[in-house]
Amino acid sequence: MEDVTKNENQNEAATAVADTEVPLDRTVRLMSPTRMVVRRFFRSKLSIVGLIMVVSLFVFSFLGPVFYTQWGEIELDESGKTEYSVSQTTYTVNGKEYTLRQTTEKSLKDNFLAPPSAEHLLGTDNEGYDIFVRLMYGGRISLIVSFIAVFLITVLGVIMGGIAGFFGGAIDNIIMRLCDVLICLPGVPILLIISTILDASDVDAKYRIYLLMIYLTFISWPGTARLVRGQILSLREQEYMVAAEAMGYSVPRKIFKHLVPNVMPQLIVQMSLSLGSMILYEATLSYLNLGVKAPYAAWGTMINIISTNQDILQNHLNVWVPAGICIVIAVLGFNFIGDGLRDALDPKARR
Amino acid sequence: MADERIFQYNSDAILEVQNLRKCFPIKKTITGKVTQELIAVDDVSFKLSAGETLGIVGESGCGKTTLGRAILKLHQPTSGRIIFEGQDITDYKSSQMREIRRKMQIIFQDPYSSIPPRSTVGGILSEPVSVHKIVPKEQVKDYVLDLMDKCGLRDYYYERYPHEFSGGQRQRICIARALSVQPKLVICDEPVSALDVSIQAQIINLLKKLQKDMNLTYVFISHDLSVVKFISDKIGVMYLGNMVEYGTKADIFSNPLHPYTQALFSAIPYPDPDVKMNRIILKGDIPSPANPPRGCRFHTRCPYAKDICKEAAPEYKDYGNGHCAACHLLG
Amino acid sequence: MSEKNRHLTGKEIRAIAKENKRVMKSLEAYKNRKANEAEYLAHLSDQNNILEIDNLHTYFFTEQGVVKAVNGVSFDIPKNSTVGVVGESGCGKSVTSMSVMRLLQGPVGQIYSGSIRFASKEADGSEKIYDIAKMPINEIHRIRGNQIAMIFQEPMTSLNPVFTIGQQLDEVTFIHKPQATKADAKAKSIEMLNLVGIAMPERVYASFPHELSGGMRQRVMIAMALASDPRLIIADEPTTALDVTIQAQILDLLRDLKNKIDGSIMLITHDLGIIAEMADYVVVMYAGRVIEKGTVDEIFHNPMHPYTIGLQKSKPTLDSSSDTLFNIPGNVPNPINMPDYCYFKERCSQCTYACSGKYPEMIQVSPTHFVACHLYDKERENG
Repeated sequence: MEDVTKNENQNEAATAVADTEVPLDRTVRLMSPTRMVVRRFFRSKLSIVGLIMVVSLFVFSFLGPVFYTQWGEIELDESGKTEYSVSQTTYTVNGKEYTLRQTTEKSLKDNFLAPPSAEHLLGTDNEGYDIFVRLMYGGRISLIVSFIAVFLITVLGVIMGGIAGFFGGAIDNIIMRLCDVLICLPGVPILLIISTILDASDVDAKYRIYLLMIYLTFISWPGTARLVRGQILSLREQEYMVAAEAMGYSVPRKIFKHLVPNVMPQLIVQMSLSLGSMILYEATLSYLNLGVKAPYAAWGTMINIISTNQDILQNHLNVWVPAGICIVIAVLGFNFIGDGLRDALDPKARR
Repeated sequence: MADERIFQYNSDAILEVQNLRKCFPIKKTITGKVTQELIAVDDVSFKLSAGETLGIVGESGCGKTTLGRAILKLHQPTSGRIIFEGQDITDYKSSQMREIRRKMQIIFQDPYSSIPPRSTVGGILSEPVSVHKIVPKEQVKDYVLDLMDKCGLRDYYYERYPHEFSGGQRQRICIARALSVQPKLVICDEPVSALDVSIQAQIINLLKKLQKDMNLTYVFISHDLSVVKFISDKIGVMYLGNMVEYGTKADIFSNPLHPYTQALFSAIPYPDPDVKMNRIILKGDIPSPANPPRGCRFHTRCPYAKDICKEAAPEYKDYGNGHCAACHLLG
Repeated sequence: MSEKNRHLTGKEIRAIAKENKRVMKSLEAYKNRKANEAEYLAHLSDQNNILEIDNLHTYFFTEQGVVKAVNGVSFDIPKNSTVGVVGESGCGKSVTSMSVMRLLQGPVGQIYSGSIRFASKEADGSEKIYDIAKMPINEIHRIRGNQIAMIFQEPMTSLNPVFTIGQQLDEVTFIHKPQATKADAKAKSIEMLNLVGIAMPERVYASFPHELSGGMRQRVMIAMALASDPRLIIADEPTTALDVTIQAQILDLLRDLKNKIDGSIMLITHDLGIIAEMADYVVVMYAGRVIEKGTVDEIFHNPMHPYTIGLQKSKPTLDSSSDTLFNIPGNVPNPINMPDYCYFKERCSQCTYACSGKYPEMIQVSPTHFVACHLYDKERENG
């Protein structure tokens, strides 16, 4: 146990040496803190991989449908063939034989469960929709919804956490107890209830996911609020905040010019990490048939198809695997970016 | 109680502190009633003329930092009065204080945490200038560059970020920031304690030069007696929230009255191997300010403690020429 | 980097990282190797020394380049003496002590070259000289904490908060005397607490670190260092975190102990006053190098290096009366890519033409007094 403390001391000694400043010379320019963060971010391979993953998903979802216009999101492939079947029945009436020949014409209007081909790059699903195109539209929904949710969570979290941290006292107490209550709420059961209510009240299938995400925002902001409050409490003790007080700055100036910029780094990390979890949330909801409903596409809904037919799970991997891969890429990408940002912002925490 | 005659209002005093007391609540009941308090500063009074330097010495927990911040009203005093330039600012609201703040500034101990990390030196220094409209907008940069020059900072530091600077240079930035609003009074809260010896000397000389140039009044807080002696005109010695001795530099150093002051002087290691100090070594530790001893607060460590010291707090009296002390031994 | 108006490019950073990785890997392998004892046995140049540091280089391999924190340091610690190492922050005085203890945080911090010869006392009473710098890291426990003990600056964080003082003190005894019983260990711990002047050792023995004040904790740390009967105690700024009156107590204690124990003290501090009071020999360091060393009288009465002189003049004393303090202008140079000439040149008021030349060598001015400065080149030629 002695060694632990020794190591700590040693750590300090090492950082003291490593952090010794470069003496200022007119010719030498050091980087601004922001540039240093950017540089450290791009030095890490993992964060570049994450960035590539996320950017390519964005391009795929938002620019894809602009250039690949062969099929629409809810456009059925009606090129199914017509089948003829001939049946022959023999009757014996009073010793006489009659043969009844019957021709049925069965029109398979929809080209469902087609294998991948030039026509349908990833085949079609059980309804006859083009999977490749639906992946793009599904991505749009997933990304937009999670961005909106994270944005709302952050705004709400910053406002509430900021108020709690800056003013303290009774206000702080009330907000933090509200957070505790919200964190206690069981998320998924309430989601089920809300979804049922939405079903009953005939909400357009397109918008119900947004309503659900607003609910998610409502129960998720306490995490961000706590983070912001904690940061502000520790920043308030910093002497430069006391100096700002001694300078006689106004309250808004202190909050927006001195506190918020210093909370931003942690906030950005938190945002990029929660983007990943929001995508997962959205996918879960859609998979449970609570979120985006057919005929509209979302990655979760596309996987949900397997629940309608065992055969698809087994024999038509092209129907559901691509959506799963998209989800994995999105979540991993955002988490890599988040980790990379965290390391870039606080290089000492990595060791 | 302090002798009333000493603290009568005097027009050339820039700062007067009368019976200042600051308590921090430690324990509260659910209803918010305070059940236990930490008395950080207890019944401190002094008076300071313009252009003077008051040095405040004491060990950790003696309330010297709290005193400094209470004068600036960064902590609202529990009782007592603070009179700055003839105005009683004790009960000023924060909006009223904003104007006064311009005239009273503070320099901190830690040059690393007292500068915001994400703005340039120019940004740090011009912000107060433009907020308080010290000079017209278009002259701000020239004004700041001039100020940087006075504080020994090169002009090309203007666009640099704080992380490029060493402790001493950061402390220069802090000084420049404090002086950017043209204050009359500057509280220096251990400004050189975190610095190396050779840098300490640079900063002390700078503070002295600026005092002369800008006619500043300093309250110089430090635990280092030799530094305080070098820069101060008057010295106050604090122990556990009380001012135990106060007087001019000459009086305090040639004739320290309080046993704590004497012990403090003898505790400083002297940089000459031949000088063998006749050292008074105090027994025991500094008691917790949350639970100070009864009677004279120093009696637990005082080598000359008598019975009366355990019972009654000594009176703070003037022993001639404004040299005040609080000790039973002095009669 | 210092001549060009640019940042390190990505290419340069990768080159530095690659080179660092290579060097660190080989040093790390050297550190973790298995070796015969013969490989790290050495000879002292003077039998009266307990520790000899010879041309020690300790480097930190950072992302910006190699920081030569200790760059060719040599000094000796004689038996039963106190050697004070003085310098400003970043001068490498702490890193030197960490190198002696082999506590450098790998793989970034490494002893690059040089030797640290230590006279170790074996169980049978004989003396063996080990070269600590060459010792494999898993052999170091024979010396570290056993024959060399360390007292740290921060008494608040150097004790483990979840164990009592007694448990932590006993552990030291158990490590170094595995055959000791619990009662033995306790007796030894109480004895140590008594030795460091703790009034109620039994009570302190049973208490947790947070119940003690800073001064008491520092006493406990000293007791812990003494518990293994070390031959050398390294005290790294032992009083910096303490108040003046408590510092006086601790210094008094250390001076007292010096006579009681059979060992040497290496005292690291930035305060010349403490050095003057405590030390027999003084080593003055600047930017990773020893610039002057000698007995305490020589350093205080006849300082020769301009930096030593400036350091002594810039500290205000209680009886100084001048109006301005002497100060050394400028700052410590960048630890990466140190110049070849004297590191103090930019801040020195007595520069000569020779100062732009190569780094000055150590010049002997008396049997014990050495200085590294071109001002005394002539004396070397004469003497």
